[in-house]
Parts: sequence; structure tokens; C-alpha cells
Amino acid sequence: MKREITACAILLALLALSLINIRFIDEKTQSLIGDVVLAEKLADAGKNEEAAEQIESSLERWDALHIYVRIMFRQSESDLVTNAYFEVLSELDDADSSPSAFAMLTEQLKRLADMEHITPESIF
Amino acid sequence: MAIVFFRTFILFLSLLVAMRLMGKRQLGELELSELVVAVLISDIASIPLQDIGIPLINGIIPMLVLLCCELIISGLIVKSPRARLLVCGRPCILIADGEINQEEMRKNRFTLDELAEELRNQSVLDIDTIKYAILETDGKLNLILCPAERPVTAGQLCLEVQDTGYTVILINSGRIMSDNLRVCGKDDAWLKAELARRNVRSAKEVYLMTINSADRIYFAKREGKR
Repeated sequence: MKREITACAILLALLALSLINIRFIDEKTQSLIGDVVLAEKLADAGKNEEAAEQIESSLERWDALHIYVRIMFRQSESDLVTNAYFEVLSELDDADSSPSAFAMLTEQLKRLADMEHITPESIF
Repeated sequence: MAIVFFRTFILFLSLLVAMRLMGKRQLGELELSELVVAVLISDIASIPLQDIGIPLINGIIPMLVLLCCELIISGLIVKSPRARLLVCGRPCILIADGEINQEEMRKNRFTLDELAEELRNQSVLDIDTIKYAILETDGKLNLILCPAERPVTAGQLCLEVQDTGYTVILINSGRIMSDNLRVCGKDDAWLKAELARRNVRSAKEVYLMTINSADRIYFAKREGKR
């Protein structure tokens, strides 16, 4: 009986950890998306340097999540986000910021969070 | 390369622990749920090994979940006959009184060729001699022969048979099994005397030496290198 109780406890702990993880990744991606939205507004106002600074600071915060991201997500998924960041930065450097680069970065961050969400779509 | 090495090592240890916790039955007679878990676990473990882009946790968490599910299900099976029936099914009688139950054969998708093979495996050539052939929940076919076909036992012949009990290994490839020696109530002096009686100076010269409860000794000297 001890074994069964331990197994139930482990299952419940795993479930709880999964829920905590969903909350954690949601908070992180929402905060990063907030940075991107702000940077996009700055770029729209022609303040490309400030927008680039905003994106760089966001990229730093993304990099700080490196270990967590490597443990929890496929490398290809995290690489897509990193590449999207560099894409935005390169477009801001060219003084030719296109909304599609921002949209792509936002989309990649959203996708990362969505991957952890428990929905019929993600399960099946 | 190093990543693959460490991943393999971690997954191997996890698999080993998982299989060990599932018990010895996992190695031989597999129930349906156990078979499912064994197949799934080995498959899941191989995925992060093949692709280092996939997090190791993607292999470990499913294994952990499967292991917990298996432990819970096997616990339920022991506690509740209804759960056992649901998960493992019930044994089916394929032959009763020498008659093949064709309905059960069909239900279990058991072909006549398979039945014949099983009977040959158990040295039974005539279906008429079978009282019952039971297909167990682990897929094994157990045969119960008609009383007239069963081997005669010493009890039926009213014979007195000496109980030889359990055979214990005393020397295994030159190594003295001290614990076994103690278990059968012998000591080093006795062993030395027994070896001397067989013209052997040291245990290293012995390949195998066993003793049973009736103090009957089996002795095999180690062959020299050719």
C-alpha cells in the first residue's frame, strides 16, 4: 500500500509542478511580450535606438532563462525565439523596423507558452 | 558526444530503477498493463537518446508517470478482483474434456496452429488426453491432463521418498560461498576435510561443489586451461 500511496503522491506532485510551470512560463512570456510591445511602440514613434535598447534588455532577460528553457523545451523551439529577437534587432539596426519582425517575436513567445497549456489541441 | 553519454547513463539508471520497482514479474510473465508499460518505457527512453535537442525531462517525466500508473494499477489489481478482471481479463478454457471450445478460440484469436504448437511444446500429442487447456491472463497455455494420463506420483504408489531439500552452492568457480556454508551448518574445517578427501588442496581447484539437505555432495574439479 505504501508504494501505491507514494506513486499517487508522485503523480500529484508532478501535476502540481506542471501547473506551477505553466504559470511560470506564462508570467515570463507575458513580461517579455510586454517588452516587445513597448519596443514596437517606440519603433513606430521613430525611436529606434530606444526600441533596440528595450529589445536588448528583453533578450538579456530571455538569456537569463537559458537553463530553464533548455531543460523544459526543445532546443529548436528556444532557438526560434532567440532568432526572432536577433531578427528584430537587425531590423532596428537597419532603421527599417518592420511590424512583421515584432509580430513574429511575439508569436514565438506566445507559442512557447501555449505549448505548456493543457488544451485538447496541445494534448492531441 | 559527452551529452549522449550522460543522457544514456541517466536514462539507463532510470529504466533500471523503474524495472526494479515493477518487480521480478516484469522480467518473465507479463500482464497486459505491464507489457504496455515495458514497451512504452523502452520506447520513450530511446527518444531523447536519439535527439539531443529534446530535453531529457521529456524522457524522464513520462517514465515516472508510467511507473506511478503501473504501481497504482498493480496495487488496485491486488486489492480488487473487479479491477483485475478489468485490466487483466479472465483465464479462458480453450479445451474442456478433450473438446476444443471454438468460440473461445475465436474470441482469443488463437489459431489451431498455435494451439498445436503449444501442445507439442508441452509434449502432449493427443487432445483427447487433455482435461482442461487454460489460456492464462499472461498468455500462457496451461494444460491439465485427464487423471488417467497424469504421471504417477510417489504418493499414489505409496513409496517413501527421501526429501533432498534445497541444494546449496558451497564453491562456485573457486570461490567459497561462506554464507551458504553457514546456512547448511558446516564450517571451514569440514570443507577442508571434504576437499582433502577428494585430493584437492585448495578451493581454487574446484569448479562447483554443492550440498543438499541430505548431505549429498556434488563435486566438479576445475579443468586445466587447454
